Amino acid sequence: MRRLILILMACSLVAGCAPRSTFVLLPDPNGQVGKIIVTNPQGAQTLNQARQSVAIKSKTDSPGKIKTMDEAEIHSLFGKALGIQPSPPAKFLLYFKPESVQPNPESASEIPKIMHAIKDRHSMDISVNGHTDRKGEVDYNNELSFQRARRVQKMLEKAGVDPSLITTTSHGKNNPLVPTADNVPEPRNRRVEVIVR
Amino acid sequence: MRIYILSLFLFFGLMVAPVSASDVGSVKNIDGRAWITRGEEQLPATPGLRLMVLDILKTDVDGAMGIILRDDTIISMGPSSQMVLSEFIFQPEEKHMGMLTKFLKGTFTYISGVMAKLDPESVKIETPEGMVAIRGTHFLVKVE
Repeated sequence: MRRLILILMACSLVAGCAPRSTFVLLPDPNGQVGKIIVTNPQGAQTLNQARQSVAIKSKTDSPGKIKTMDEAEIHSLFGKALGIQPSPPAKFLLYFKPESVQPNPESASEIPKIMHAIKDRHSMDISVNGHTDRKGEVDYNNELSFQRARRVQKMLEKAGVDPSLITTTSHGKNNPLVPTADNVPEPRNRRVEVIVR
Repeated sequence: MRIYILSLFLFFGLMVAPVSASDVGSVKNIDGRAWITRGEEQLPATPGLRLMVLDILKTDVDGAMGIILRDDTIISMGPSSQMVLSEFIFQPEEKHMGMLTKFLKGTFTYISGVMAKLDPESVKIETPEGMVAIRGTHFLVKVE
């Protein structure tokens, strides 16, 4: 115990023991390179090139100089975290006729593809989100989007998905895929989105 | 026809309230040992475990874990790492969004999701030394 206290005291005196944060920008899964701004009350640095990195020594130091980290260092520091990084979720859209809760025939044929994605990814988390177009009243569309999502949920359960893995939500007319004026029927907005994580 | 369907909805609507998700995401991948601390509880992390706001996520010295949040944000942690999901609100219909992730120690990968596309200002990542503002991006963080 005495030794532990000594080490803690030494750490509080020696700058090398102080916590330190390092940030590295990588290309997105689609290959594009985004942008991050690393800030604290002392300053800011913007990273916008692949493998650019910046470190902050402590709360009282501003973000340091921008460097480029090589692949070998990225692998040695972050290999384990990168190795377990989940792939982006698989997404499916099923479309509906106006006022209908039964997916169009060509959309119903998505079910086997969804089942394949669930097995392939060993998915334990599936979202079913119902939507309508902007035709009609809010309450009516809330209920319609809910019934659409429920119908797709039942189809997945019938195909063998454990009901406890499915989360169903409904969004009514307020989250259109294609923005339209109110009261406009739009086939691409009458949809149920299935997300397989 | 429309009136008929509507009245059916009103009837069933009384019995089945719309379901809304209370979880913020789930554990996707595990290697070695990892835990979720939720209040007084310490849960072993397993694939599919639903995550809640204020959960503390930890990995063992040989552990690693990957999670996917409700807006498609993807986070993974290497060994001896610890993070907190401090805030997560994702209601795009009401334009009500906010997310704060605190990386306390260890190594992390982060791929931003829908929230960062719709409202970049609403997404914040903190470490003990600073914070990150993101613009739709994949990045790494190491906290010593």
